[in-house]
Amino acid sequence: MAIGRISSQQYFNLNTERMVKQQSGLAKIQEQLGTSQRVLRPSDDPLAMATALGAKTGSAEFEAFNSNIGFVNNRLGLMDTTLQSTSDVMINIKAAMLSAANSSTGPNERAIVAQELEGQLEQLRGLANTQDSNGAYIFSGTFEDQTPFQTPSAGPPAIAGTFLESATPASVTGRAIPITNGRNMDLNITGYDAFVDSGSGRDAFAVMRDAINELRSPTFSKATFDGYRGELDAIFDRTQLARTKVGVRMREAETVEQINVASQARLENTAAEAIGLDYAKAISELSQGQLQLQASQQAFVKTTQLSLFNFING
Amino acid sequence: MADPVYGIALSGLNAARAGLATTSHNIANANTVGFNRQQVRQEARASTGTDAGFVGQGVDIASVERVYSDFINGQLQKATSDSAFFSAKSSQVNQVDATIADESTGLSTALSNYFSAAQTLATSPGDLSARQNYLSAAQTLASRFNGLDDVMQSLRTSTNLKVTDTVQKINDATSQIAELNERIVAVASQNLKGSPPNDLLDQRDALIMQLAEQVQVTRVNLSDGSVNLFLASGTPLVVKTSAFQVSTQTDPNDPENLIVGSEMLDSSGNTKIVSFDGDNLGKGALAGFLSFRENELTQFQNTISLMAARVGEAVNNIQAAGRDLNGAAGTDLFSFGSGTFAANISKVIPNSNNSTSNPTSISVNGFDLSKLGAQQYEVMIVGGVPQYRELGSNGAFTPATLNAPNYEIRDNSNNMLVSFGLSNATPTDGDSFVLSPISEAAKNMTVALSLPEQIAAAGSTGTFSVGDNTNMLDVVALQKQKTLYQANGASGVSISDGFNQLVSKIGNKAREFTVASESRKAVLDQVNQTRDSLSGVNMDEEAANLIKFQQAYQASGRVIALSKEMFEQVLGLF
Repeated sequence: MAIGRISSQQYFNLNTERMVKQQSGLAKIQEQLGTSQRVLRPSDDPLAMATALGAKTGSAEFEAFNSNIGFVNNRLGLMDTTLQSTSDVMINIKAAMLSAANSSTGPNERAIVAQELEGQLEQLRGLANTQDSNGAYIFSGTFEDQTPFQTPSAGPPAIAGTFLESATPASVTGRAIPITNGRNMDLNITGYDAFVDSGSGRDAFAVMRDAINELRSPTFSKATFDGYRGELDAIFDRTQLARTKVGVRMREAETVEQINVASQARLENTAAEAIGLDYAKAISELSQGQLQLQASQQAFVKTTQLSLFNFING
Repeated sequence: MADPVYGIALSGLNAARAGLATTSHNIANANTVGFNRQQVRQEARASTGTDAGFVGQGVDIASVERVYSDFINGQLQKATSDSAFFSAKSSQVNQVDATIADESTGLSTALSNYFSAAQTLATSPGDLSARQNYLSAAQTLASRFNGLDDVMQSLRTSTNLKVTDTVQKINDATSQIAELNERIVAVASQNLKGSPPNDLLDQRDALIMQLAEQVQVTRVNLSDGSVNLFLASGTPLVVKTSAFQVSTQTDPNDPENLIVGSEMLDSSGNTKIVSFDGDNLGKGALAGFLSFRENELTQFQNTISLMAARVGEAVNNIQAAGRDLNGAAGTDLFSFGSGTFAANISKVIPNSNNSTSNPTSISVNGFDLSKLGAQQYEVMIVGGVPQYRELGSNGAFTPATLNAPNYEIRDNSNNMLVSFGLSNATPTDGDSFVLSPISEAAKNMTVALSLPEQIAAAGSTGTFSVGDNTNMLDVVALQKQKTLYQANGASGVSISDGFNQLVSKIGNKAREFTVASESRKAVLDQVNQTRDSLSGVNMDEEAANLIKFQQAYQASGRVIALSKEMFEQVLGLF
């Protein structure tokens, strides 16, 4: 600006405006430092703000996915330990039945084995009816408020002791849980998968009940008993398969969780880069601004003391 | 005959006195807004011819004049209007800018919290605490929409107040200018030498500058010293000694808006208001406020309302397709009022000048929220059938498509946007309505359900089970679904992205107006500098002038003393 003549008021205005501008610049940097954000309002950088909002929404989504995976891990973990215990019980059952199937075993020993199997049957039923900390039955699929394998009883209501009496086994599914964008993890490992013979449709408890009855029968038939053993072996294989499925899903959940954590970190980083503050830069701008303001103030005070009126003697 | 030196010295004394007085006046007014420094214009008196040649007769004060430029003043006036316009717009948009992306008032966090709660509920649909959490998130979302609408609404109210205030300032200025016109003409006609009434002129210029800040005016200088002022549209504000009042009144098309216009007498002698179109006012604060209200504010408010309507409609549809924890069919999660959804969120305002003998009303019966935008429509009856155009456009009206018994507003691909019915089979031609399809959604949104069991997380097929989450998965999927802005075959955007687009649009607008406002302010400062350089008072200069006129005065005094001495010497000869 070429300044020729300058009025006194103009001189004051120029100086005060400059100082006001410097002060508001400093206030802005202080606000940025106080909030550790470079972009405080959309107008500061509209694109960066929209990017940050999008990234934050994405990050919140991954957080929700990982919280879902937390649930999935709990549920699968509980299934895994339950099925592990189930395997242990099944090994004992197999051993006991094998000893009873031996041709040298007499009725008394069979009665003892039957008694032992009776206890193991209830142990196995207990495992199949495992509930999580919220009281949901883990092998009931979405019918989680219903006991999957009830104890047969004669009294009303008539309960036959089959899997989820109120529903047909085929209609029992688990639920799909969103674990990442476009991937829902199916939790449908049900009592039907783990404790029921897919061919005959009979569950382990019914087969064991028949086997126990056979052991106690005066007309014990080894062939019939071996038939039950075979049926149980087939069910135990399904239990193992179910446990393998659980393991596969747990591994997938773990992998997806790691990817989610990385994605979330990337999005958080995107948001921070878009609207976050470069402290070193802001602090150096702050001290530079302070210096400039100080210089302006000193220059203003010094120069406004100059006036020709000082030299006119009163 | 008296010695002419006395007369010459006396004229010098007078001139120096006038100089001293003017310098003192300048010093006294150094900080007066709009003051232009004054200068005494001296003229040498015509000299007397003698045999020896022309002998000088002294000095005359020709006039006291302002150091002033019409050209710079005109530039200043324009720069003032420009700067005030953008500063008004920017100050209003900045208020939206400050709230829209804020964590505690914006929508982004509430939306993503809502969808996170839907995820948690999808994981544990039988868990009452997950259901309660989802219900609370829905409540937060609804109240966030209410809050944003409230921010917009109070901004509308404050803009209306500013319009009223601006109009008051315009009227104050124009009546004072008319009064000054009168005084200036009177003084100028009495003035002997035609010297200008500087200080009255300064006062009037300052008032015109104040007026220009409120509204852009065209200034016409008349030969008698008065000025006429006109709006950019040609409407007169001041003609000589009369000022025309500007008034505000409630908009016949929208009771929430104030319109501004000049009062005119109609043929029957009643006062009526001829309203100004914000876009025809040019610049100035008034145009800025009107333009913000008519363009940005309405668009922002309607966009937020569109999001509320879309979320509400989509979630309610999903609810209806599922079963709640008791196995019963789901009911609406979000409510918008006691009527039908379409009636609850739309608003139709008949023009207050519509026929009263043959009244017609319009009811909105449906719309396609996946295709609608933020626009409102102006519907007018032409030839007995409704025609429409976007509100605020000056384009041609399009006849609404009859899809009996309703009429439809359609997009370019012939898809229905809004469907409405007329209460009258033979409506009066010229009756008009402002139809806002979704403007009330954000304001009216509430959560209709109070019990967590009522959330329909389960699907509606097969035997009901408490752990069924298939319906809630649809809510989860909604976050990414492109359910907005699909008009004219566009692929659309998701609700979150739609909101982020709005944030970015507001940010860009705020930035645009801030930058425009700052650059106009810089121009104004520059022109002010130029004016101050020319017309402002410099104290050192005045101090120097003081010394100069003091010396001139002393010198003229010395001349009188000297000539007295000389005269006495001559007398002493006798």
